[in-house]
Amino acid sequence: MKKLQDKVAVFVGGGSAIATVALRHFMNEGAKVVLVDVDKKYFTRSEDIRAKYPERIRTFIGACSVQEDMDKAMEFAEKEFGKIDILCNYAGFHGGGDVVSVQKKLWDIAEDVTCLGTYRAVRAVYPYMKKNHYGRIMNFASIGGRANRGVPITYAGFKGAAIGLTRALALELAKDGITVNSMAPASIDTTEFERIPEKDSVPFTPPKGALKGGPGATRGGSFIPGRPLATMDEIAHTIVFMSSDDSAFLTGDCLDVNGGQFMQP
Amino acid sequence: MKFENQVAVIAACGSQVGAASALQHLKEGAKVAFYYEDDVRLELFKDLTEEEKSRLLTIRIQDYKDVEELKKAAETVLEKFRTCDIVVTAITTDERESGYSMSEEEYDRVMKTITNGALYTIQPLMPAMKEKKYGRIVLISSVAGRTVLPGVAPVFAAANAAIGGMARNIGCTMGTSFITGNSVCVGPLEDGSYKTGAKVEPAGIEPGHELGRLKDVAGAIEYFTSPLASWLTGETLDLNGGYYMV
Amino acid sequence: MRFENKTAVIATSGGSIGLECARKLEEEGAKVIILDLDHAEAENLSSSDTRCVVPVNCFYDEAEVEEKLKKASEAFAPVDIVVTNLISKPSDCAWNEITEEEAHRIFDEIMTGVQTVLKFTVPTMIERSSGSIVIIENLAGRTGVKGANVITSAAYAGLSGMIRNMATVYGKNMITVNGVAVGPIEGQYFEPEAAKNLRPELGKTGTGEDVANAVMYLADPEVFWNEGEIVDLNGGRFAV
Repeated sequence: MKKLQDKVAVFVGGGSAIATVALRHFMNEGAKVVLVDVDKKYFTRSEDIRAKYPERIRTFIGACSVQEDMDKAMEFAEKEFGKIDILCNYAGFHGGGDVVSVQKKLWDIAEDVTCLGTYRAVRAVYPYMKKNHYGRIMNFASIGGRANRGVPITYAGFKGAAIGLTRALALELAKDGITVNSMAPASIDTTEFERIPEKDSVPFTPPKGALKGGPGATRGGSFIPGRPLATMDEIAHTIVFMSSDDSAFLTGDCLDVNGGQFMQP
Repeated sequence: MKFENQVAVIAACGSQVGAASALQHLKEGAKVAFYYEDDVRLELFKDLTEEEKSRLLTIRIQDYKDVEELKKAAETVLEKFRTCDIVVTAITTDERESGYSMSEEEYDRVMKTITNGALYTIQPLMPAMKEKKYGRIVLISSVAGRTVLPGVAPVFAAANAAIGGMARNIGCTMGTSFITGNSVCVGPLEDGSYKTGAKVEPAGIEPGHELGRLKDVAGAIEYFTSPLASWLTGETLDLNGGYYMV
Repeated sequence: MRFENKTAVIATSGGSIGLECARKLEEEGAKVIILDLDHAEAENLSSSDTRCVVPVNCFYDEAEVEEKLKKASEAFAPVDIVVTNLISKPSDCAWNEITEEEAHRIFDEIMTGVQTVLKFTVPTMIERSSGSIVIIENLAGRTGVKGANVITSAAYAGLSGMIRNMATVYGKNMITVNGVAVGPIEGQYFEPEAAKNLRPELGKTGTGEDVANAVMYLADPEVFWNEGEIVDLNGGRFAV
């Protein structure tokens, strides 16, 4: 039984590696998807899938840092597929730096993309979900915002903010039958795809001794032997769950997906 | 079919959630062993096809606090199905005498039904999962054990918090055998079960969906029992309609 | 006296929390530098040889914060403890009508303000391999609080992310970073729409002193094993 039969989803940041793998799962589960991203080069990753399902996937160029782009993206999705059921916010920005060294420019981009980007996308999609009294909104956060990780402060701060925004939006949108949840994965194996460097990010090495994520994380490492990283299919499994009717009673929650690296009570 | 060739053991007590989950696994091809304490639990199976019935083994449990009885049940399961991939415990008990004036017998009954019931169900099935290096264990608990709810009997809060601890512990200790342990923490449900006993029962925030539906919980259980849930362990999934967000 | 020979910087938007933290730290022997956004409040405080009161116009103005901190620490160097109590008062509007300017203002007042103050205080702590940082945030950053502005909720949650991250990054430098997430506190601004939706039968309104006690616990040099912790102080309205 397909979990997303005839559902229409919009992926903001749909050119990311995770979104591309999620796209495969969404196709298997019967959905239609509109991919939104800032540059068409990000869509080369999904070339094969799009060629396989031409009638069920569309692409749109737009930035989550611009409200008008988000408004137009949702309008486009509604026009192409007749409705919008699901919004997945993948767009995020790593940035770089710790609290002392962080550059203002990167701080501002992180705020604009990681947190406000989600806000703008939700604002844009709201009328379409409201009129059908149905919606599933999934915000892709990170363990970096949720637990102790030596990631850049731009990432920790604004992923944390995105998780808080999720709860607040869940409260506001519940009356319209719309659930809003976030997920907090730890490190993911994205080696299937060639890395496209994030525009404006700077390389960041946490100070020696700081807890890092990634392969070989020892303190608070994964409990599953030989498995320090999630596969993208495992991440997609969570995204499908959060986007389906199965999660109707789940809202304001942050789902941890981290192989046991962080277990909240 | 997602669970084809998989064996799921689902232990139900005090709620129809177990049956709802058993049904969901059956529909997706699993062989299911269903433990139940009361005939009313079998109601959801009345419309099964012959083929589905052939994959269902029902075992009546007289007392979930009885370690020997649950050992025997596991033996029966393994004799018939040869293996085990999934264990779901949806064991709860109705609200009782209140709070601090509770008798010692009553305290014992509540605590042991919930915690020992889960433990005794899971324990004898572990060797089979360890041998095949695969397992999906899901424990259902109540939000009463999760956060502050005035009026909840202390033993009910304690027992349910214990379930969360057990799930995390299984996650930590069984990871080396590729067995995951997670819990789904629910608010009050549409069949009247999992009431917390609080002065004001927690309710979902979506108008018209204040009580959790059986299929909501079954969906969350499937999220954790799925073969693709290999990266989820030691998690607590809060399923309470937005009442409690952390 | 627990904080003898220590210097604490208290960066506050105003209100009882900042004042009580300053008062209690001083009582326990610390010298305090109070950076106060509320000029009227600052005027009622007098500087002394153990207290330096500095009115501030904008906590996310790097030049201003750097200059004022530098000047104040001349007499009171080095800084051992930083307490931040930065809030934002959102406009009254629907969740989907928050303007871009307002959203940025809220993030700046709450998150960038904290980042700026720490930018100019953490380096000395690193040099000396010693320090405690306590960040006051809000219940709305910890859980869903009906009626709270969605962007302030996000920004306070962002402080949680920063606290844990900085704890991870600076633990090795023997600097502790922790937080206190407060519910309604007497004499301290709390969004009115949010406050009225919090269950009344659980606990009374906390006081600035309640918060200061938690801050002292987290900043105490004898209590070193707290790291990346966020203490919920809300009269039992939320527990995890």
